[in-house]
Amino acid sequence: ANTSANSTDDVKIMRLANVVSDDRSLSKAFYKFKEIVEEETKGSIQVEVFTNAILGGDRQIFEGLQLNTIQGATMSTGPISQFEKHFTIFDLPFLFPDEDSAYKVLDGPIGQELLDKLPEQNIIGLNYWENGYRQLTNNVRPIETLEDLQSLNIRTLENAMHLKTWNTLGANPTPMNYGELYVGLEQGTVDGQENPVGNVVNSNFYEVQDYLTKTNHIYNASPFIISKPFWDSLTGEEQEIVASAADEVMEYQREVNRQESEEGYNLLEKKGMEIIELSEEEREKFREAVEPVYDNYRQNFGGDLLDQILSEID
Amino acid sequence: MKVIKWLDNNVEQTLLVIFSSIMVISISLQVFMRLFGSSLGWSEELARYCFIWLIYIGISYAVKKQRHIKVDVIVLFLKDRVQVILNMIVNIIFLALAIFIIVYGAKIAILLFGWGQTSPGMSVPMGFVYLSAPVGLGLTAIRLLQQLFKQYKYFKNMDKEDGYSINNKNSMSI
Amino acid sequence: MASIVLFGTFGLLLLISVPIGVALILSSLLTLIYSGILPLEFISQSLITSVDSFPIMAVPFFILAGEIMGKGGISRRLFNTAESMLGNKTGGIAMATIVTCMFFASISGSGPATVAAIGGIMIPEMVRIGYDKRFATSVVASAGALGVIIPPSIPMIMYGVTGGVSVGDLFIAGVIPGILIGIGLMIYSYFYSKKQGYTGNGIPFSFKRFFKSIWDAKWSLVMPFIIIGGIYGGIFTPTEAGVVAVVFGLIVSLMIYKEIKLKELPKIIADSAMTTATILFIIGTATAFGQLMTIEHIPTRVTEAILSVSDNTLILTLLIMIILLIVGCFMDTTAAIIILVPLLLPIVTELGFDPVHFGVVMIANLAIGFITPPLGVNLFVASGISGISILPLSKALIPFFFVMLITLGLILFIPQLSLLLLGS
Ligand code: NA
Ligand code: NA
Repeated sequence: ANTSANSTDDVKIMRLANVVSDDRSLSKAFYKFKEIVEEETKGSIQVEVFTNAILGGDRQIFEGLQLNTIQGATMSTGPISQFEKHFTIFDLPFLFPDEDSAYKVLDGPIGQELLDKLPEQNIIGLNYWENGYRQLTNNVRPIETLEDLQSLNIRTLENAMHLKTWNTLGANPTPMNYGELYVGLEQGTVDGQENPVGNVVNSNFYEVQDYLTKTNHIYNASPFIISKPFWDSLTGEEQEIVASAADEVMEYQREVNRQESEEGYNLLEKKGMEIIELSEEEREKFREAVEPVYDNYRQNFGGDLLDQILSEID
Repeated sequence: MKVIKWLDNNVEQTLLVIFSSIMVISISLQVFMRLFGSSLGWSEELARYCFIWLIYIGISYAVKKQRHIKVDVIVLFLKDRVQVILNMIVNIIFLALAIFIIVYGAKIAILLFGWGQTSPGMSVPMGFVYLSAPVGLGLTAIRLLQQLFKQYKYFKNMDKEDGYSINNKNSMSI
Repeated sequence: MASIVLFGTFGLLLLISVPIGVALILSSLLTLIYSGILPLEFISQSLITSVDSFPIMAVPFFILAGEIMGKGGISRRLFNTAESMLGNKTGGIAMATIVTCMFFASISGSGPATVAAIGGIMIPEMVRIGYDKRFATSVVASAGALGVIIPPSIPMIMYGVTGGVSVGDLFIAGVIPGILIGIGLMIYSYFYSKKQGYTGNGIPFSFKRFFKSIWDAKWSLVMPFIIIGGIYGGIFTPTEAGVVAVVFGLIVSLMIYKEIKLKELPKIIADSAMTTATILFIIGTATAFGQLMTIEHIPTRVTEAILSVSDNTLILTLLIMIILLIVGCFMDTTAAIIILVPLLLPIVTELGFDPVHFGVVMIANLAIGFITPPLGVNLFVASGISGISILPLSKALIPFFFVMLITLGLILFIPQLSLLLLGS
């Protein structure tokens, strides 16, 4: 009740929302951001953190930013691409061979160019935090080669590019609601799923999955995005504080996320999962196999942005 | 006139049957196709959006049939005349809410159409999904006005012939 | 202050019999206008996003399946099976009615729907053979609560979705507690019947008749195994199981029993869609209400307040049970679950409850509210069927209330009753 009284005065309330649990790096980063911004603005911006989908799922949060019911958020580029098509490119499988090449592209002019498209959606994109690489788990067999993947039922997002990717890899992609996934894996409605390692840990998938292959098939960047009406309501000084806090927190978040992933793998091994590294040469086969997905992308979106990214990585 | 009469009698039922049928068929297909090793990418989403439309059209139908869930113990202790007045007040409150949702729901739908946001599975504009609330509550508003009209007429007649009781058993839920 | 506006207007609107969904959304709206913490678009956005959920979609399917099977000649066949087992015992027809409710509960996810499906046949039947009408009505009204405890169960779906708990696990966990409550009600009915001199039907038990009635009811009796077996065999998800139940019910009622005609189908579908809408209207509006509570930090404060009452786990547990019983008297189950689960789940987890176990306890508790005035949905439906008014019926239900309370105690203090079948 106190906060509401203040909000009509000069204190600006900034509600941050995400859908990951409170102890994940993306949430810890919110708390750090809160600390910095409240201190630097001497309380003229008051930050409230709502993790764990308390304020709704990704779609609701994004719309919340558009409507300024929520002021700041991070979410994977996948859901963002439903609003701003250019972000679809980050769902291309095996686009970034490693984190450093992802950082190089995202933190450079290409990343900025994409963020600059968000104001059309009434949103300001500041920079790219991360949820890390998506990995494949299943409970049929250790996936070491492309052949191992054939006709496995893999739960995917209800997303055309993901469906096509797993189809071209020879699996049987099965869209299923995340809320029903645990039971689906437990009961064998699907054989496997693909998510960043943090999700595998948080959702206890290790209880119902035997093998994890480090496919690194999609790097999940999580842009830090802000409601444009809120951004416009800030003074120039406040905007600067928010932007520089976001940059500082981004470095912190990526660092914590790397540690968290390491700890995640250790935990999964301790829980009895077999962790499989994909050999360089096998990864190359996967990359070649998904070439139709790239062709399809070029047909639909043109090749300019993709070529820019590929030349940046090389 | 014939068309309006037909719509008055059937519009909600017809839509509800259509949406329910699509939901049942597309999820049946989803299970069936998965068992045969080729999953669908649109079935869940289609069913879900029909479900949302079904809810908001169903709200109107439930007003027509006076079946919304409420706590009406106090009403049972009131005299018939007071009951009718209270029922009219409740309907007016509901009507005010319906108008709010029509205005703000349409506003969001229009904004979403403008931002061009589409659904992940079928790539339909999300504005269509959000239209369900203002359209459903639009129908609801019409139903509420019909009832207010009936209640007003009934109330007027009560002055003339006393002692006839209105059926107020309109609480029902699952 | 904002929280006073929120709860104050909500209570006031409920009191003057505004539909619950309207009360939830209007109180949220007035809070937003009063406090200015969020733009009003928040409400109309939440109306869509809160119901845009695949797990919740199990609700309309299980409602439709229950409606089809209730009208499709299934209740009568289930009863014949139960009667062939118990009919010749003292109070046999009352006990057979309860068993029929248990059978039907394993098809239907709803309490009042179970009362409607079984009460329509069984209350007149019991009265015909000389049972007191109030007793007969009470038997069905209370046993109807099994509709939400024995799986499938709409409140369990809501609990699972709101609390992030596996719906499939909740379903399994409800089996033994449901049977236990059924047995409790049967025991009471037996002693009451004995006192009243309600003897059996005089037809000696025969295996031939028993197996014949099972064979006649085979399509109805196999249904629960398809639902639960399908979910646990990895063939489909709980939501998909609802669709399978619809399709199966259609085949049985239209083609095998032939008790529903094709031209009756649109009305059945439209009616269950309407029931769906009345429930989902509450879900859609309660979500905005709940999120406003969260933004106002009410859950944290309630948690702190409850935990500050005592350090004693037992006292806190009983306190929560009493709160739920009171809420069950006044509030719709769906609204209660959506609003209270985020408040209570953190507390009970801290007290050491398994979330699945607590789900069964919470739903069994709220199901007692089905038979208590002022808002008791089973009470309303049973009263509508038998013509006994709410007040005398509530009085007749008092012993049943205590039977359910005792079984609730067992379910609360013996977690194994819920968790045994889960093997955890
Ligand atoms: Na049930
Ligand atoms: Na009650």
